[in-house]
Amino acid sequence: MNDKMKKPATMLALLSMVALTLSACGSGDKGNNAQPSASAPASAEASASGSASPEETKAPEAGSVKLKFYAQYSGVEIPVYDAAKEAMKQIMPEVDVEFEVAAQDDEQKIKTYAAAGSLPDIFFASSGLIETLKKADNLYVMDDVVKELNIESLLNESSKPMLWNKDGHSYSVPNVGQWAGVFYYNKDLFAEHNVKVPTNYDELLEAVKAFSAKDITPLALFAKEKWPGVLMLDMAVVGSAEQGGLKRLDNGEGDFSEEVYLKGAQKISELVKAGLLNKNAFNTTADDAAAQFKSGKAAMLLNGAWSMAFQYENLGDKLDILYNPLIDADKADQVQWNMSGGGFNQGFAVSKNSKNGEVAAKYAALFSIEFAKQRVIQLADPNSILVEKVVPTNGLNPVQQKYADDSANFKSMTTFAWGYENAKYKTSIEDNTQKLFAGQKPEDYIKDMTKALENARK
Amino acid sequence: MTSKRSYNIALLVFTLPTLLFFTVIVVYPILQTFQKSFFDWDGLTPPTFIGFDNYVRLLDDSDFWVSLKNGLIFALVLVVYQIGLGTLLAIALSTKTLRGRKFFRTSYFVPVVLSGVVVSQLWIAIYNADGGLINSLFRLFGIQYEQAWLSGEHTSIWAIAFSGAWHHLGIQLVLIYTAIKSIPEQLYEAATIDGAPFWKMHWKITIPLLSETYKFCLVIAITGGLNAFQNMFVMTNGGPGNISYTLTFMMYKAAFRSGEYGYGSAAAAVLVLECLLFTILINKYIAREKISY
Repeated sequence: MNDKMKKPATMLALLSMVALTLSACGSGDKGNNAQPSASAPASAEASASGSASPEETKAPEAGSVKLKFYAQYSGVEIPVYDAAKEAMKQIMPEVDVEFEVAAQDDEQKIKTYAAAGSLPDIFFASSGLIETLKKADNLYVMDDVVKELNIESLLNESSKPMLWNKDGHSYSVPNVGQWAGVFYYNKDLFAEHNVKVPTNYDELLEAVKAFSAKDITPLALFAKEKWPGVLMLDMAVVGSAEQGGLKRLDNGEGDFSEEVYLKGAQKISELVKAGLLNKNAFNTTADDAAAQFKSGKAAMLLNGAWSMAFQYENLGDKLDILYNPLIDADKADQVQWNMSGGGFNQGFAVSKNSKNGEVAAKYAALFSIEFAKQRVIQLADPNSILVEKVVPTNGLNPVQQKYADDSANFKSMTTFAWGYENAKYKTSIEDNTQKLFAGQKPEDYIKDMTKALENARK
Repeated sequence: MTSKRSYNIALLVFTLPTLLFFTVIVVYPILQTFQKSFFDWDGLTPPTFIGFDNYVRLLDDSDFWVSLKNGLIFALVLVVYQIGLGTLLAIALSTKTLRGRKFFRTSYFVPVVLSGVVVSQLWIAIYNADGGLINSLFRLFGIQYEQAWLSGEHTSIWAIAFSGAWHHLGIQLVLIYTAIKSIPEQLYEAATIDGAPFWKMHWKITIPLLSETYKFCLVIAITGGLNAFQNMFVMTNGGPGNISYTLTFMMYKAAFRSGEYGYGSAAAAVLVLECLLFTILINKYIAREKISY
């Protein structure tokens, strides 16, 4: 090609590229989203009323509705999500979901999506996120879908309340049962060192002193994360007969001037002084703590009950659990089944701005049920939220069986720190409780938290 | 006249894109941060104007004072370690009689190319209270000084700052080394003829002639220290409690964990003003006269 031809040829190529780009932009609206968004709800309504035209009653094409699904699609939960997605293909074949792995970023990415008006169609929402997005009017109210699909009838009695927000509406359908926080302990280590397995605070203090004297870390607390410390303080408060624990304050009831909160802080302080933690606790991750516990360097480990399968894999029959060794000895009978942990209203929610809002809501609701089922089948969750009796593929290990049997006795649950609805309260209690574990005086802790709570409630 | 006008137009044409880019990426967000600092805002719902309330609240917040102090400590460690040690090493590396200069020059720069997360993890292992390198060395020499370096109220920020200083020493070293190499050789030759000893020669010639470089190095070190975030985020997550907070970390906590974007913006605004103040002071008091050879 000579130089004279080069210029027009380049111009032509550029023009055709621009034309192609513009035509692609123009056709975008008629493609994936717009068409199904109109047809899918229409077909659902049509099939319900039976009065639609032949064109409308035509079954939607499989996978014609594309939904974006922002969830913890990682680690052990990948097969659970995949299995639930497969099951949903039978129920709603017209929907095809694309998972986006949720970032571990204090929910910043999802909040940024909300601020930019580009929330995914379906996303996992904690109770804190639900409150935030509710205020900003970003959530699809799922009341009608929940009623239409009769979701409540599929949930067992203890799980039904998780479906409804305190304002009486449903913003998400629960996908997993409530977990209590538990102390895992190494039975052999207690027996070998002739230490009594603690059933109350006084015995726990004795056990901590005994293990500390033998240079064994009494408790592997992964305090690099802030919630385990809050959980333990919550146990101390619940153990002194305040069944609402720290969650009660999140709800706007009571304050830190009440004796029970000072007593809880004093228990933690006394245990810390007796050598509860190893020096590196604040740089210890969950994996580090599990490794210490597995190797016999630590006698106990604090975590949620969801970790039972993993801990049993590590310790086998040496493993057992305690529900709350921080209860006051004189109140043991009264409070032994008041649990710390769980209690949060969370699940799969739908964006109010989704182009396929109704379809997404139906899909999210039914997916939640399938997900809960698959959690039991594949991960042997002993706390199913479903009425349906689902059998785990590999059965329950003895610790899970114990938890499953005992859970019938649970009288109440508080919540894990991430379930607090007041974000200011959550961050303050997480930071300040870490300081308490680092040796802050209980009185100073109460003073700081009193101020923080006042600010959080403004 | 025409030539001057053409020159000005050319100047405008070449600088305008960068200026526009800088305005959009840096200036506008900074102005918006100042504006948002006067509002109560959760990032999602419409903001409410509250005047100076966020600033008043800052003054009564222990996080703020801890953050302010930690930022200054971090900056101090960077200045002393990076500029102090950087100068000594740069002088040593520019000494022709030193063998293996090229090897050392490369070695000191290696940490700079490592990612901050890798460096932080490395130092977490070194500071580990239970079998980390430092405590193991103390134990080896029978010294009873084992510490929880990253958890101690009085050790945490120093330990984190040191890891940050170590990480970026190479940058300051290169800047100072390059500046030393640009000092005319005749000055040293004259000093040598006059019988000046090695250290006196550098004290009287090198250090004064480095003042313009120091000005730049100080701005980098001090603003870097005040802005520190990554090291504490990876190493301690700001804890235990707030003991390793800096203003950047406080801003992160307020905006992204507590959903208080207005309050976080107030912390960020103070940080901007603090950095600006130090930059002005450095420019005012260091290397006031331009050095030319």
